[in-house]
Parts: sequence; C-alpha cells; structure tokens
Amino acid sequence: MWAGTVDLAGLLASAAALVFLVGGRRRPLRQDARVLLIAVVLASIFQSTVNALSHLGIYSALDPAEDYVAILSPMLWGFFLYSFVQDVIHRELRESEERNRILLASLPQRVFFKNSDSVFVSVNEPFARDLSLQPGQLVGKTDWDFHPPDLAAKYRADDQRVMATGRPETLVERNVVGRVERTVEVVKAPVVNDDGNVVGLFGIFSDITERKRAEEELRERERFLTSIFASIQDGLSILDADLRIVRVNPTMESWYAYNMPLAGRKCYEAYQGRAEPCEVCPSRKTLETGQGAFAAVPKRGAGGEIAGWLDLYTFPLIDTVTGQLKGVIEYVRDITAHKQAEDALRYRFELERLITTISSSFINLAHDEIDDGINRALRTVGEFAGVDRAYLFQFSEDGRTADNTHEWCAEGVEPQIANLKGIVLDEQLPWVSARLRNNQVIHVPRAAALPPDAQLEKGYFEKRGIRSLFAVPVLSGGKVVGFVGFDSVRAEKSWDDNIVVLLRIMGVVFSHALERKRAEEARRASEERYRLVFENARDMISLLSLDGLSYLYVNPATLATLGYSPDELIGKNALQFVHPDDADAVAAKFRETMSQGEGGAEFRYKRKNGSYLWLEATGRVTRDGEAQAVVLVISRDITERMQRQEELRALSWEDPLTRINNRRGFSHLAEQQLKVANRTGSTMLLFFADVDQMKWINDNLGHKTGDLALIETANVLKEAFRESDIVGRVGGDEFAVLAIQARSNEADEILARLQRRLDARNAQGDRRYSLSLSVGIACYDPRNPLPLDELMARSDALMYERKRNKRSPESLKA
Amino acid sequence: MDAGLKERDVIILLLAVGALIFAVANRPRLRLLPAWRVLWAAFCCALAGWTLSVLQMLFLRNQMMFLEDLSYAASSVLTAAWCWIVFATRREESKNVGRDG
Repeated sequence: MWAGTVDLAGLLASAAALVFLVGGRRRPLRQDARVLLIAVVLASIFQSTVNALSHLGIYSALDPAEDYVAILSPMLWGFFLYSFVQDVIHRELRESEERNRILLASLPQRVFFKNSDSVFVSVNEPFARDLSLQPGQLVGKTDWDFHPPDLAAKYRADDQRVMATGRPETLVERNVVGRVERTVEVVKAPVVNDDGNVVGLFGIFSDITERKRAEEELRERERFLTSIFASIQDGLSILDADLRIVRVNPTMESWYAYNMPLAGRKCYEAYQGRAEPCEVCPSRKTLETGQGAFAAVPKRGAGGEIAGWLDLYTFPLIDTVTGQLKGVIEYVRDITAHKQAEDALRYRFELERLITTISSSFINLAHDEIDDGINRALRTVGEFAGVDRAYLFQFSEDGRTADNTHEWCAEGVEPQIANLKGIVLDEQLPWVSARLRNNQVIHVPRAAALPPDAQLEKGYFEKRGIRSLFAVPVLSGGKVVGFVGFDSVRAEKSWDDNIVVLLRIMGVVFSHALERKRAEEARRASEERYRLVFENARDMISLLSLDGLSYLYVNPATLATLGYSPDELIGKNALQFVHPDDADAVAAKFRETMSQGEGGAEFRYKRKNGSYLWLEATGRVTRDGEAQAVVLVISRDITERMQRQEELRALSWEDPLTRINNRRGFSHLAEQQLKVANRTGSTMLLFFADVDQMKWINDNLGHKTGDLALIETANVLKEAFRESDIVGRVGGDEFAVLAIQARSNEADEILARLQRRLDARNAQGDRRYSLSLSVGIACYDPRNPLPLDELMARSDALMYERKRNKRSPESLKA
Repeated sequence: MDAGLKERDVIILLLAVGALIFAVANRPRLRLLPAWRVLWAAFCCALAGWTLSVLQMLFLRNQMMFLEDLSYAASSVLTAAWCWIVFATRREESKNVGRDG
C-alpha cells in the first residue's frame, strides 16, 4: 500500500516536471538537452505508472516494456548530462574564439597566423588595414598575393626557417606602406600543437620607425656627449654608488696613465693609492646627501707622492626616470699651478704681514722695551724662516768690534750670545767683515763649502756647529752699524730673496729702534740735567698751559717766593693771583706773548699771606715734551727795586707820563706863586680839570689809549695856557692849572681858548675817542688869602658841579 | 535468477555508474547548470534507486524495495522541483548557461 502511494507520488511529481518542461516559458537549455530531459521524465512517468499498477496488483500491458524503459533511464540521464557538457564546451570555445578575436582586434601591433604552408589563417584589423583589406579577405592568401615576389620569397623563407628550427626570431625590416617607408620589428614564432608538432606560424610586428629614429637620435646624442666628454680639458670621472669608476675622460687617463685602466676600480685606489676611502671624500658626501660637494685633493704621482693639487667638484648622478641616485660625477680641475701661485702669494702675504706686525710693534715701544721687542721680533722671523738661531750684532762706535746683543734660539739649540762679545771683525771674521762693510748680503748655504779665502770663518762656524748662515748688514745713516742674521745648525739650509727682504727690513727696524733708544736715553739725560737746573734755579720758573694759562709746573723757587704749596698752584689760573690793577695789562701781555711767541711784563702778584710782590716776568711759548705747547714763564722778584723807584718817584716833581708837574711839583710851585701874589697883590685863577669818560676809554680802548689821552690833555693845557702858568697832574685823570696874574673876568676867555684847543684836537682824523674836560675855576685874591689846599678843594667842588651840569658855564666861577 | 541478481538491474546500475563517472569528470562544467545541486540530488536519488534495485536481490528485499520506490519518488520530486525552478519561475539566473540561442 505504501509502495503504491510512493509510486503514485513519484508519478505525480514526474507529471508536474513534464508540465514545467513543456509548458515553461523559459528556455535555459539547448533544445536537444531539453528533449533528452523530457525523455528522462517520461521514462520516470512510465516506470512510476508500471510500478504503481504492479503494487496495486493490476497487470498492465506495459510490463514487458518496463525492462527496456528501465535500462533506457540511466542512459537518458547520461545523454542529458553529456548534451549539457557539450553545450558548455561549445560555448567556451565560442567565447574563447571571441576573446581571441577581440584581443587581436585590440592589439595595436600587426598580428597574423599562417599555416605550415605560409597561408594566412587569421590576421587582425591593423594588419589588414596596412594592405587596405578587411581581415577576412586575407584568409587563405599568401604573401605572393600582396608583395613583390622577392619580398614574398624572403617572407616565406623566414617563415619556413622559424618553423624548421622551432625557435622564435625577431627580425627588423624596412617596408613601404603606401609611399611611406617604415621600419618594422617582426617577431615570428612557431605554433606548436598538443603533440609538439609545428602546425603554423604566429607573427606579430610593430612599427618601430619612431623608436628607431629616437634610437638614432640617442646614438647621435651619445656621440655628441662622448665628444664633449673627450674634449673637456678638465678631468671627468663617473663613479657608481660603490665609488667604483665607471668611466673617465682622456684627461683623467692622461693624469693617471701610470695606473690604467681606471674603469672598474675604486676611486680611492686608482686616484689616491689607498685601500680605504679618503677621510675627506666629496664623492661619498654626495652619495650620502644627494648634494654637490667640493674638496681640494692631492694629485698623486706614480710613486704615491703629491705631484700637484686638484679641485674636485662632485655632483649627484640621478636617474631622470626613477629619480634614484645612481652614482657621482667628479669634475676635476688641475690647480697645481694656481695653488703654487697661491702658496707663493700666501707666503708673500705672510711675509708682509710679519714685516708690518713687527714694524708697527716697534712704533709704540718705550725705549726700555726695545730690547725685548727685538728679541721677540727675532723669535718671530726665526720661526717664520724655520731657522735654528736668529741674532743681531752691533758694531762698536769705531766699527772695529762687534757684539752679539740680541739672540733667539730654537728649542734644543745652544745659545751663543754670551760667547760672541767683542769680536774683532777684521781679524776673526775678515771675509764676513769685508762683505758686511760693503753692504753685501752673506749667504752661506754650506759652511763646509766656503771658499779658501774664508777659511777663518769656516773654522769659526764649524766650531760653533753652524752649517748654514745668512746675514744682512744693518745700516744707520748710510753707515753699517751691525748685522742681523740666521744660523742653521741642524741641517744645511738656503734662503730665498724674500728672506733677504725680510732681514733688510728687520735691520732697518732694529736700527731705527736702537737709534730711538739711544736718542731717548740722551734726551732723558738732558732732561735730568735741565731738571736739576730747574729745581735749583733762584728765579721763579713755571709752565702754564696755553689755553687756560693754568699752572702745569712750578719750581721750588716759585713755591718758596710765593709761599704756596704745589697743590695750591697746579691747575690754577696764573692770572687770578695778579693784582687787580695790573690784571688787564698782564692779560694783554699774555695775549701778546702767545701771538708773538714771547713777551714780558712787570706786575704785582699775590702771595699766600695776602701781600703783593712785584714780579718781572718773561714768557715764551714752547713745547712740552712731545707736542703740547706751553708758556714758559721765568719771573724774578723786583719788589725792592719797585719800592726804590716809588721812593724816587715820590721825590720827583715831574709826572713821568705827561712830563708836566706832578702834584708835589704843582703844590711846591703854586705855594711859591701864592707868596708872590700876596706880596704883589695880584689875583690868580686856579683851574681844576677832570678828563671826561676816562674810565670808558680805559675799559674799552685800553690803558695804553688811556695814557695817551692823559698825555694829550697835558699838551692841550700847556697850549691853552701861558708858559708862565703852572700846569700839573694832581691825580689819575685830574689836572690843575694856576694862571698867574689872571683876573676873574678872564676866566671865560681862557675857557674858550681851552675849548678851541680841544675842538682842534678832536677834529683830527682816525680818533677813537673825543677829548673832553670838566673844569672848575677858583680865584685867588690876596686880599682874602686862602691856603692852596682850600683853593683846590673849591675848584674841585666846582669841577664836579660842572661835570654834573656842563651846560651852565656860569656855575664854574667862584 | 528471480531470487538472485537480475541482469537488467545490474546493467542499469553499470550504466548509471558510467553516467556518474562522466558527471564527476565534468563536474566543473555541470556546475554551470542553474540550480545544479537540485538536479544533482535528483540524479543521486535515481542512482540510489538503481543501486537499491540490485541490493534488494541480495538482502532485505521488502525494505530495499520500499526504499527503491522512495528513491525514485524523491528523484521525481527533485526533478520536478528543478524543472519548476529552471523552466517555470521568473528568477533570473546569473549564469545563463545552456540557454538556447
């Protein structure tokens, strides 16, 4: 029962499958596979039906056929599966062919397939296009159908050779498409089947015309660059990243001809003869940093010696495509000649610097430092010249002997200075002496090879171990006063012209320095002498500054005379001690002295105790030491003399300035006339005159002009009055005139005459002041006699009144 | 022979094994069939039925016969299901392999 049910279910399922197969709208299988599947389902329906009936016990006419159908069933399954597999295989084949077609059509290269008889089987579109055909039109054709016979024959021969050898070949040929000639590269390869038999030929060719042109240009550029590389006169060397030489130009080959071949070797081996890279290696630096570098490197000779110098510039060698650092380009310039010139220049520069330094160092040396300076200079030049001993000899005054006065010895060299004193040149070193005295340089590179006439010197030098010697005379005022030289005791040595120049200059420097030293010592001795004179002089000697007239120095006599201490005078203005009445005159004298260089004056000078003493001083502008201008003042105390003069002046009746009576003389004569007038009964007039603006004249025009005004006043008075009248100067600017036998009514006439005289004076040209007098007049009447003093007092009072009111002449009379 | 092996069933089994070998050998291509696993299951059920038809001659006849019928029925059901999937549904297969044209 159950079996029948199962069979029935299978029957229904198969029926449903049949319905889907037949009635389904979709057709995912090929028709033959679908039919076979329908057969499978029908077989299944058949078997299910038979089995169901069998299980139901119903015999059917179908039973005999069941065996055949049952056998057919797996076969139908197998056919169905086979059909589907075939379908897939055919589809894969079609797809493969399609892919190949697309591939061929997509390739820019020309591709073709030929069979073993060189008949085209397949070509792609670009290939056919070259022949102005469609790909299908070439199938079944041969090269004879498109190309000239000779070219077709060549193509066939190539095809057959490739197929015969079984090896692909790459052929470069030239052909013409249309009118354009081109270069093509053809790769022909045999086509081998699964059995290993060659069944045809595959060819692919490319138009390499542009590539060939580019290659030709590249070759041309390479030739150009190679010619440049070879033509560069400086060295060029290409290194790889391991510092191995890749290529060098002919210049490098010529420099290192002894070490060829250079390529393939490490640069430090080939160029420097080293096993390890150099410490300073610009190429390595360039490899490390990717930047250019530079160094001056020695140029080695065949024996490894330094044969010259090279400027080495390195540049990174960078692959322009990848940007990777591939190596280093070394650009090398031979600077041997340049460096030699540079070394000579540097040596010359050092020499000149040395000379300048030494010369300038002596400028500011004090005289007591000159010996040390010479020793230092000998050390400097000795070290510069690389000698063992440098020295200075000075001749005695008579030039007969020489002393080694200064010496420098290199370390380990025995000094000789102590042994070389008082050398009698003409006897001990005649050959050297003769040359030095003729101002000749002595250059002895080999003491052992001195000439026979220098045998004394030879022995002398050998005794002191001197192997080479160089000496230059030292001149002073055209006379040889010594010599400066070098000794070499450890090796024989020669010196060039530069050393001659150096020593000549050193000789001049030393000579000047020593002269200066001697002069300085002489000056100091002289100074000492003068100082003694200065200190012990009885006159007052002082130095004043030119600008402020302040004391710079005073001698003991000055201090003793004036009573001041040095601190109370030094730095103080000398004029501040001058008596006020004399100050202006003294200041004027100082100005005159400074302008004319010397001058003198007599004036009163204040002592510390407040009293004044008279000094007679002479001043001279002079130089103090090096350059400072000062005033040297030598003064003498003339107080006693002035006092005597004053006493004499007091005894005198005449005024020394105006040459008229002084007050004493006027009083004496006036007293006598008063007595005469008293006896005779005649009247007299006393004129008391004062010079107007006298102070202004003194202050503004100077005391000299003031003195002149007084003299002029005296003269005017003498002219205006009679000779018998008594004229006198009774004060600084006060005058008195006693007009004898004059009445009071004559006063106006006398005053008018006086005024005319004054006007006549003032009318004279080039006058700097106008002379004017204020006059007071007193009349002496014997009937009412007055003493002279009273008379003068009255006239004096009237004069002052007149001075106050000069326009009222009436007021002058008394 | 009725009690032992039937020649027909052995021949059927051999043919089925041949089909199986072919299917296994071309398995990569057969996998391109739509709903391949269903069809492959249907074939395997049929193969099981053919195998059981031989085995029922050797032991457990009734049980084997039942299982044989069940295998055929299962094969039919699976075949119907595959046909429904492939021919009757609108589902688009990503792999349209085996389609006509």
